[in-house]
Amino acid sequence: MDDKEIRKTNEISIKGSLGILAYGDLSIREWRKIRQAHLKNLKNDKK
Amino acid sequence: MTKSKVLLIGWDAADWKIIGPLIAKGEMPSLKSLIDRGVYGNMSTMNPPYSPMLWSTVATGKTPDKHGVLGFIEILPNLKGIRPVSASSRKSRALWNIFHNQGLKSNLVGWWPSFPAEPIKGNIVSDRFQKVKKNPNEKSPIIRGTVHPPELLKEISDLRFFPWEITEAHILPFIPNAAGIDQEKDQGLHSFAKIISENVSVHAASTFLQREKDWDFMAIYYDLIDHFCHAFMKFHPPKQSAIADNLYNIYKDAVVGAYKFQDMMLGRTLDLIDKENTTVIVMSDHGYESGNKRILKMPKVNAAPAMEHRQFGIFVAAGPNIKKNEKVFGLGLIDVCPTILHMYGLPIGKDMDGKVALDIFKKPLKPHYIDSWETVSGDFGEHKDTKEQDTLSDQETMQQLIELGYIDKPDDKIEYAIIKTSCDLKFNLARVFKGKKDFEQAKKLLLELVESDYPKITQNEIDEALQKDPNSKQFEGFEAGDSIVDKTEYYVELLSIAISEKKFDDAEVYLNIVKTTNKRISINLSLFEIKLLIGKGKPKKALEILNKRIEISPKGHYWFEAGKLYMKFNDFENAKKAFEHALTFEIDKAKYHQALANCLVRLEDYESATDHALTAIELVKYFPEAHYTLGEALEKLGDIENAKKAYEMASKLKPKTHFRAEKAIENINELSNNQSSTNKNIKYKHRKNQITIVSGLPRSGTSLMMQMLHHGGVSALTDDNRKPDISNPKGYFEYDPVMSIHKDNLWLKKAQNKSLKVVAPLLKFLDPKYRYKIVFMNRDLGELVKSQQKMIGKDTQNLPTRLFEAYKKQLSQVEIWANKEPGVEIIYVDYKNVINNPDEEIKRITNFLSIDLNADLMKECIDSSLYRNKS
Repeated sequence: MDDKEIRKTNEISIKGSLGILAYGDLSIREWRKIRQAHLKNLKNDKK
Repeated sequence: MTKSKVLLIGWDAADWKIIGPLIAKGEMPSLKSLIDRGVYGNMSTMNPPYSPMLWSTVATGKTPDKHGVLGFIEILPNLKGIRPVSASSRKSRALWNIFHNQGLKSNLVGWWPSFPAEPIKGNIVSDRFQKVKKNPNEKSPIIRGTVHPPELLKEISDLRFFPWEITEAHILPFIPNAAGIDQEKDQGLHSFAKIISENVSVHAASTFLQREKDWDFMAIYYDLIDHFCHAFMKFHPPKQSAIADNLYNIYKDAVVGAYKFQDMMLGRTLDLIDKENTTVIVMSDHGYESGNKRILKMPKVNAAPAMEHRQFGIFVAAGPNIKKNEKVFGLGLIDVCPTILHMYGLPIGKDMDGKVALDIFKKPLKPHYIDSWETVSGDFGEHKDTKEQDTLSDQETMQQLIELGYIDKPDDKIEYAIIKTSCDLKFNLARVFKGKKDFEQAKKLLLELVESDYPKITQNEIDEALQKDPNSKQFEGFEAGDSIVDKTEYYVELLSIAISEKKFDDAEVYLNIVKTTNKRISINLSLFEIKLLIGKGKPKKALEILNKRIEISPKGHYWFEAGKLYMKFNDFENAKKAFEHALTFEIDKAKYHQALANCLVRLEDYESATDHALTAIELVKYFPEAHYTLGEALEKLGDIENAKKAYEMASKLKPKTHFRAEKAIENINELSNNQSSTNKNIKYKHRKNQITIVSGLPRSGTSLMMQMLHHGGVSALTDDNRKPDISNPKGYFEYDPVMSIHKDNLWLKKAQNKSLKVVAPLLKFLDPKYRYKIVFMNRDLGELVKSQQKMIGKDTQNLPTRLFEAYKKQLSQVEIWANKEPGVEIIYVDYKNVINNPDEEIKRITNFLSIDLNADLMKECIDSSLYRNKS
């Protein structure tokens, strides 16, 4: 999970991982999407 | 027209002690921005400081005896089990019910308690929404009743955050050395993840509602700070000696981290409001001990962790009609609901316990009232059937309450759990009544609790519990044959009430019971013992015990009590030292500052007295005694104008009339009238209903003076029970009730416009309600003691020197007392002068009393042959 990556894909200005949580619903949803994609990639890489 | 809105944000347990330094360092910028454009101050909590009771008071403006939420758990309506308190436990209408009735929409998120969500106009995300299982393999379904309207669930169900989603990047800002945690032994990270994820869920739901749903009123409740404090405050700096270095180094930043994260969330919340039309309130229900009063080992009492809750929480408000960057005083939880209703122009129920905080408004409007919102008919968005509840979700909430230490793990035997819960609720209610000074109701409940019979624990039950779980704490401290309900705490409350009511015989009985039953929970009884000794007239013994306690374990409240005792002995130097010591333990304790200020007035250090009185007022504005002391100090410093203002404030604030303040104001007014009058020589004036007191040491000529005044025109209040004798052939002019004036002074009304004999040591018990003119008889101490010795048939050649010293002390005490009582005027009359220069003395007395006395008749009373014991 990379904050920079999230910031790139997210227009919201966020200060670090806690900032994502503090920003509320929008950034959490965004974070989840990216995280799931990231985990999926990791899984695929392993395969 | 744009609608005015109110956003109420609850931060459970937030405390200025932590916030102050963080704001100073720029680490809570969002709260700082609110303060800069609004008001801030202390929020006074209530007893017992249990959060569901307190937040229900915030929502209803009523004390728990009225709103019905009496603890963390309650008995199921079918009486077959227990459950966490819920929205259905509340018997009074909350703000959102009233708004619903008035056609206004509310958004409510996480409020404790708000499950099951009520069918109001607007949206409710209840306090069950965020509750999730710690284990990712266990499902945490959202149950019926969690949100309203039900269709909202679809939109927000993905906003629940889970403990297993917490990553290292979330942990490190709070716990930089998290890598050093031995997770096998230390559950700290589990608690951390659960608390953070639950609060993130609340916050995510709230930002969603802020953005997506129209609202007039919104309330969000976070338990982040409270739960962090319960888990990690023991590791917060300064380091406590009992805390291991490695644990301290791991967790020392956790509490501060919680405050900073809470502020980050606030930043986002504030970004989403329409600043021009929204009033924002951020408040807590109580504070949290962060200094030397932190408790490392919780005693085994009801909801023990709440013992670390501090009396003052926080209050910040900003908005279009709110004053800017001003400190406000005297707010209580009961004031929040009336104040918010007032912001919408709605009437306040007369049955609400609080008042509108008019001080916070730029342009305050006059509040209007209705008898009660409870009797208004119509739709209030309330539950039709209050029995509906989901027991599965209750289990998760119960588990959390157990982990926080707010409740004990319920007994496996459900009938025991029900009995204990019923007792806890009754006990909490008694404490609510005690907090409201309704001692009769409190005693009634406590007596019911102590007089009831409860089942006894059997050895079999203890063995079974230990067999099931060798670490079971279910019967910890209990023995076979003990009652399942420990009555010690009930007796302690009865003891405390008896002392407040000055019923010291009852207090002694309760103290002895507590001493014998105080095995399991080990309550420190020293202060009660000390107060009882003082009440029973043994202040020296009390001071002796206090000093021993201070030697063993010095504490602020011990020093404070010692200071009060030194004050009683007029030992102002030692009192000053004691109060200063007390302040080293608790620098923000208003009553310590006030006590020191009062002491400094007696020591004539008026500048310092002013400082401490002002600090006390700064801490607690509703502190009439501190305003009065400030008035005294300022008056002595010659700042008459401000002294008068201080007295006026004392008089205004006192729930009962502050007689001393009233008299001090009268004195100041008279003084300024005299200064502007042409006749500046008027020193004494006749006071309406004045009481003429004749006082002095025994055998100082008080009976003679009574006789003179009686014949001169001020009739004596006497019962003639003590008959004339050889020592006083013309009578004693005494009145029996004077001897018990320290217990009952109601009869003093009868003494108005009369003369009354009161011996010197009893003067301090005169009711400050009246004006007194005291004619104090002085007589050469040698003559006086000789006369006394003769009266009781003792040796008149060798006079006891100790008696001389004691009398000198008494005379000095009278002087100190008279000096500080604004309703007292005193002249000292020498017995020998009365005999030798009666005309002159009678003139002086007449002038003092400002009564036209018959000098001839007074003079006739003087029989110089009775002046027998000359020096």
